[in-house]
Amino acid sequence: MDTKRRTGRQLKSADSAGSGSRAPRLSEVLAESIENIQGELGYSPDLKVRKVEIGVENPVQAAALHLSGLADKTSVNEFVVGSLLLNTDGWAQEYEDSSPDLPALLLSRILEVGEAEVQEDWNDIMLAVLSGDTAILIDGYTLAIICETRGGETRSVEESSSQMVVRGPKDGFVESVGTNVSLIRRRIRSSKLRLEFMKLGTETKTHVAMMYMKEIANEDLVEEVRERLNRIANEEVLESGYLEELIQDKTFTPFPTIYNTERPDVVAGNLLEGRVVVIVDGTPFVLILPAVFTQFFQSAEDYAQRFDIAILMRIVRYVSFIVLLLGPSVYIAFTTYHYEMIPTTLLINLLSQRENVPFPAFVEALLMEGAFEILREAGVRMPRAIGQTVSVVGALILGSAVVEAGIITPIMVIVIALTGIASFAIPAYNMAIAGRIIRFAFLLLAGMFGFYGITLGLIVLVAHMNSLRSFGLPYLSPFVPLSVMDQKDTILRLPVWLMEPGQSPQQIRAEMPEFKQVTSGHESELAPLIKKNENRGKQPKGEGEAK
Amino acid sequence: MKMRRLCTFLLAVLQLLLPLVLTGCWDSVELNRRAIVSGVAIDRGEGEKEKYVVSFQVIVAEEISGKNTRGISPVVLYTGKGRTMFEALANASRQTARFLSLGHVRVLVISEKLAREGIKDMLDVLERESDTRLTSLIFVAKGQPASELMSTMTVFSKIPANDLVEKLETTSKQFGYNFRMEVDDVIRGIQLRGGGPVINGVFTDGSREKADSNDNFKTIVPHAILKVSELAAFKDDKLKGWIKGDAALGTVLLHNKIKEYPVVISHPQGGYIAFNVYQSQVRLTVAAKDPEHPVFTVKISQQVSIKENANELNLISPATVVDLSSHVIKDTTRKIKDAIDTARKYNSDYLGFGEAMERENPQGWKKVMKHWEDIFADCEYKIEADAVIRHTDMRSNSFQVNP
Amino acid sequence: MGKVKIGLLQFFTLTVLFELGTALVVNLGMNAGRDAWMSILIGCLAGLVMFWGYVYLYRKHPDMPFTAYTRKLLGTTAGTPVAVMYIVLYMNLAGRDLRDGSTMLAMATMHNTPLFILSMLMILSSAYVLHKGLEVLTRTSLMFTIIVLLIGVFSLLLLILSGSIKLFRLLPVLENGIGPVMDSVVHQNYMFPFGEMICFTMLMPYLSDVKKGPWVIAAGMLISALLLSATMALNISVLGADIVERSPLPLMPTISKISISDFIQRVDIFVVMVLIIGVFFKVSVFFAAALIGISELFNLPYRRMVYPVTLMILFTSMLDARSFTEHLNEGGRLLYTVYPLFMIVIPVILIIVTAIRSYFSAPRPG
Repeated sequence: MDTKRRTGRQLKSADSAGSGSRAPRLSEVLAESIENIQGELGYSPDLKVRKVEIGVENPVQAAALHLSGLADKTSVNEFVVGSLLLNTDGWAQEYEDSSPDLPALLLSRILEVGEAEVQEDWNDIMLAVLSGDTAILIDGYTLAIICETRGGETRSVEESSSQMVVRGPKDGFVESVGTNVSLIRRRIRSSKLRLEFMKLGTETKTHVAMMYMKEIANEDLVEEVRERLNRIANEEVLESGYLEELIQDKTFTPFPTIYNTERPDVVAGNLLEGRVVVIVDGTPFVLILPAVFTQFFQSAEDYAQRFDIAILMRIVRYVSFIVLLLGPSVYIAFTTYHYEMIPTTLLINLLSQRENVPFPAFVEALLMEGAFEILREAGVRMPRAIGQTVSVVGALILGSAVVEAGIITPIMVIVIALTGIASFAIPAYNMAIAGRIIRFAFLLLAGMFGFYGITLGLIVLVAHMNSLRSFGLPYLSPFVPLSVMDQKDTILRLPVWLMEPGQSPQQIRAEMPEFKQVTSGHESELAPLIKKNENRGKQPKGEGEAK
Repeated sequence: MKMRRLCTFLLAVLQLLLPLVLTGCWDSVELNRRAIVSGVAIDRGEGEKEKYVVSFQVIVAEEISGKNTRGISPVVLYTGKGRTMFEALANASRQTARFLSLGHVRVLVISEKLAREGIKDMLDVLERESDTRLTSLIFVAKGQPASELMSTMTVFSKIPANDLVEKLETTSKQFGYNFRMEVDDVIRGIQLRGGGPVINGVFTDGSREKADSNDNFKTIVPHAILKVSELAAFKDDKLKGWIKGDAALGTVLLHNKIKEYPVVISHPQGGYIAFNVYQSQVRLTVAAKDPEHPVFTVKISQQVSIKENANELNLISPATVVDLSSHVIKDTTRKIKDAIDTARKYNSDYLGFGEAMERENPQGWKKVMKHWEDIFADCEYKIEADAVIRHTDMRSNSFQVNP
Repeated sequence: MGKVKIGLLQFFTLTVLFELGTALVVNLGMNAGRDAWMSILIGCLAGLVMFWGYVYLYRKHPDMPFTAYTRKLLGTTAGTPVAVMYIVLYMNLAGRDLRDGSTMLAMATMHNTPLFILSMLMILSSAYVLHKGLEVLTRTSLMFTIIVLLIGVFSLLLLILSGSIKLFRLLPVLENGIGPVMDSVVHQNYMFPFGEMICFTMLMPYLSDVKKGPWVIAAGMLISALLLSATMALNISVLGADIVERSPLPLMPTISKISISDFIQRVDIFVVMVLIIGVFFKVSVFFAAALIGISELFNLPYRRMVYPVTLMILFTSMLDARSFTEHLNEGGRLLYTVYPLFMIVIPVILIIVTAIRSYFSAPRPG
C-alpha cells in the first residue's frame, strides 16, 4: 500500500539520498569528473570518452562522453566532436574577447546538434548518458552540456505481426518511443494533439509518452491517467503490460480493461475519439484507455471495408465469442442433462459415437480443451517453421488418432475445434484469452448443473462485467447503461458519414449533377447514353440545378 | 483493513469451492448410460395385479449408425407389468442395462382391449412426468396386442416407431384419413362433455410369423406391414367403435385437420372422375337461443383440382366444371352426414358440437351439458358446402379413341 | 450506497424482470379459469393504484427508504418495530421466492439435485451480485430483460409456426360473469406480483429522477402485466384452460408443444432459463430491499451484511415448508391475510400521517 502511494517527488529525493553515500559529483577538474562518471557506470567499456582541447591560445580541456551503441555515431562524430574541433579558430578569439561563459558560447555558437542544454544535476546527466545522449564536460565547470544524439540500432517500421489486415495501412509500431510518436503525428496533423513525456521505473527510467487530443479528450480522464502514471514507483517498466497492470481499475478479473495495439492507425482513431494513449519505450505495444468491451471486437479493418461487410464481420466476432464461452458447456449440458432436446436422429448418432468411449463427456471435454491449450501454447512459442509442424501434428494427427482409438468422440473433437477456431476470430488476443479462461468455469458449471449452472453463470458473468470500469467508464457501455446515440460503432458500424454529422454522400455527390443523371436514367443501352451525356455537357445549365 | 480484505477473499473462495466439494453430479446421466425409448405399447394384462403390460421399444444406436454393427436388430423390446404405468416402467427396467429414457417417445400404442376399458388412468403419468413429451402420437392397435405393433420390422426406417410416425404423416397429408393426435389432444378430448377423443387406429397386415426379424422384408412383399387406418371413436375415455371410410374422412373434415384428400365420383354419363381436394376449410356455427334445440350449421369451402377424367366431358366449358363441382359438393355433404351419423351411432359427440355450443351460449350449455348426448342425438344440422374446381391440371379434355 | 443514482431505463428493466419473475412461468390467476389474462390486467390496475400510494410517500421523502420515513412519521418507538417487520417481510418474500424457484427447477429438470444445493447456488449468485452493489444488479437486469424478451419472441414465433395456437380455446370470454375474475384478483393478482412492488419503496431513493422515475416504474409494471397476460392467454390457447389450471408451470408444456419437423423440439429449456432469470432477479430485489433496510436501520455497512442475510434467506427458504403443496398453500393464505397489512394498511396509515402533517405544516410555515 505504502509503496504504491509514493509520489514522483518523493521518489526523486529517495534516489538522491541513495546515491549520496558515495557522493559522486561533477568536479571542476575534468579528469575527476570523468573518473566519477566512469566509476558510476563501473568502468563500462562501452562508455566512450573523447577528450578535446578547445581553443588555441588558452586551450580548455573538454571531453565528450557517450555510450556506444545507444548514441547515433554520425551525430556524435560530426556534430558534437566535429563541431568542437572544427570551429576552434573562429570562436577562440571571441571567447578570449568577451565573457568567459564557455558553455553558453558553446551552446549558442558552436554545437551543431539540434537539441542541447546545460545540465548540472548529476542524476540528470547520468540519465541522459544512459539514454544515448552525449555529455560534454568542460574543465573548470561543474556542469555538462547534454547533446541529443540518441540513436543506434532499432527495428525499422514493419507490418504489425499481431494485428494484420487485408485492407488498411501496413505500418506498425516499433520499440522506439520517438518513432512511435512520429507515426501517430504523421496521421494527425493537428495542433490539438498533445504529448507528454515521463520517465517511469526507478531503475529502468523508461520513457513513457502520453498522448491525447486537447478539447476532445475529457480533462478529468487525462488528469486521472497522469496521476496514476505518476504514482508508479516500480523498479522496472519493461513493457506496456507492466503499466497496464499498475494503472488498470481492477486486477481480479479476466477481462482486459485497457486496449493495446501495434497499429498507429488504431491509435490515431482512438485519439480522435477522445481516448488517451500511453506509449512505452522498448515495446511496440501501445496502450489505449479507457477501453470498453465492444472495443475489443473492433478491428482496424472495419473502417477500411464497406460498412455492411464490417457489420457482418462484427456479428461474426460476437457470435464466436459466445461460441468460445459456451460451446463445450452447452454441448455437455445438452448431452448429459437435456438429451430430450436433441433431435432424435442426431441423438442416435451421438449415442452410437459414445458407445465405447471410456470417459464421461465432461472429462472428455476437459481433456480435449487441455490438449488444445497445450497445442496452442506450443505452437505460439515455436519458431515459425516448426510451429506449423506442431499445428499439423496437433490438429490432424492427434485429432484423428484420438478418434480412431475411440478415446474421444468425433463430435467432441468438432466442438472443441470449433471453440478453438472461434477464439481466433476475436481480434484482441487478450479478450480471447479471457474467453478461454471463463470457458473452463462454464464447463464446470455445465458439468455439475446443466443449464441451471450455465444460466446462473451467465448472470454472474454479466454482473461481473457490469461491475467493471475502465477509468470511470462502465465496461459494457454503451449497451449498459444503454445509450442509443452511441450505438453507431458497437455491433453496428454505420457508414462513415453517419458517424460524423454534417457530411453526407448526397452533399458530396451533388457537385456532379450530370453524372448523377446518367446513372439514374432509364436508358438500357450504353452507347446512346454516353452520347446524350455529351450533348448535355454542351449545355450544362438547368437540369442539374433543377434537381 | 488487510485482515478484512483477506476474510472477504477467503469467503469468496469458500463460496466457489464449497459447492464443488459438496456436489456430485446428481442429475447428470451420460448418453451411453441411457436407453432411448422410441415407442411404447400399452396392453391390458391379466387381472388387476398386472393391469398394464407396457412394452418399450428401445433404440440400439450402435446398430443404426455405428461403425461396427453386429447385425442384430436395431431396436429391442422390453416388457414390464404392473398395476400402474410407473410400476410397469420400474418392472421393465429390471431387464435393461441402462436407464429407460422417455424423452424421445414418439409413439404410444394402446391396445384395443385397454382402450375399451378406459385410458384415463394411464394418461396421467404421460402428462405428469416431465421427461415424456406432449407431442408423442397416440394410436390404438386395432384388434391385436399393442406390443405386436412395436415389434414389427419396417423397411423405411430402422426404428419401427419412426416408421409409424412417418406413415401417419403420409396418410394424413395425401389421403386425409388420419391426423396427428398428440397426448394433450387426447386429454382435452376426454374432457369433452358428452364426447371423447378420436384416435388413429393401426394394425399389422399379413402374417405375424416373421414380423419381428429382418426376415420380414427379405422378400419383396414384406410378410407383415404396419398400416395406419381407421379412427377409434371414444366416449369419455372408452373406445366405442371404429370409424371407417367416408365417415372417417368426414370426421377429419369436421376437425378441420384435412390437408389433401382424393374424391372419386361416378359420373352419370358413365365412368369415374377423380379429384384432389387440396384445400378445405370448415366452420361450425350454431344457433343456440334455445339450448334444448340448437341448430348447427357446417360450412365448408373447398378447392379442388381434377386428377383423373377419362370421359368425353367437355372440360373447356365452365358449365361442365361447375356441374362437376356440384358432384364434389354432394360427395362432401354425404361424408359429413356419414360422420355425424356415425357419431350419433356411438352416442359420442367427439365432433366438438358441444364445444361450439359452449362458446356460443355458455349459460345455455350449463343447463344442457348433463344430458348433452340426447340433444346431440337428435339436434338439427345443416351442411353448407361449397367447392371450386380451380384447374384441370395439365390437360383440358381427355384423349379419346379415334376422335 | 447513498450516493449511487440509477438510471431510469435500468429501473424500468428491473421492474419488468421483477414483475415477470416467477409469475411468468406459474399458472397465474387461474382462479378465473379461461379469463386469467383478464384478472392479471385488473390486478395490475389495482397494483398501480397501490403503487401510486407508495409514490406519494416517495415524493414526500425522496431521499429516504421506506424504513426511514416510517420512523420519521410514526416516531422511533412505533416506527422501529414496523421497520424491522418490513425487513423480515422482505427476507421472507426472498426466501419464499427462492423456494418457489428451486422447487420448480427440481420439478422441471433437476429431479435428483438436493433442493438445498439449488437454492444455495442461486442465493450465492445473488449475494455476489449484490456484493458488487445495487447498481450492478440494475444494470445486469437490462441485459437479461433483452434475453427474456428475445426468448419470448422466439418461442412465440415457433409456436405459431408449429400451429399449436388455437385462439378459440380462449372462448367463451367471461363465461360465469366477472365474479371469478374479481375473486382471483382479490385473492391473488393485485398482491402477486403487483403488490410486491412495496419493496421498490426501498430502492426508489436511488432513482436518478424524482419526477419521471415513478412513471417509468409504473410503465414497467404495465408492460409486464401485458406480457404476463399475453403469456397466460398463450398458455390457454395452446393447452386449454383445464390443463393450464392443473399445471404448476404451464409455460413449460406450452413451449414443449413446439415441434418443427422434429428438429426443433422440447425447447422448454428456454422456459427453465426464463424461470432462473426471473427468480434470480426477484430474490435479488427482495434481498436488496432487506439489505438496504438493515443497513439503514442499524447503521451497518451494506456489504458486511450480505453474507449473514444470505444465510437467513437460505434457511428461511429451506425451513419454510416440507412440501411444495404446503408451501403454495401457505403462500396463498399469506397472500390475502398477512401481506395486505404490509402492502396496504401500513402504507395507508403512513400516507394519512404524511397528508395530515403536510396539511398542518404547509399553511403555517413558521
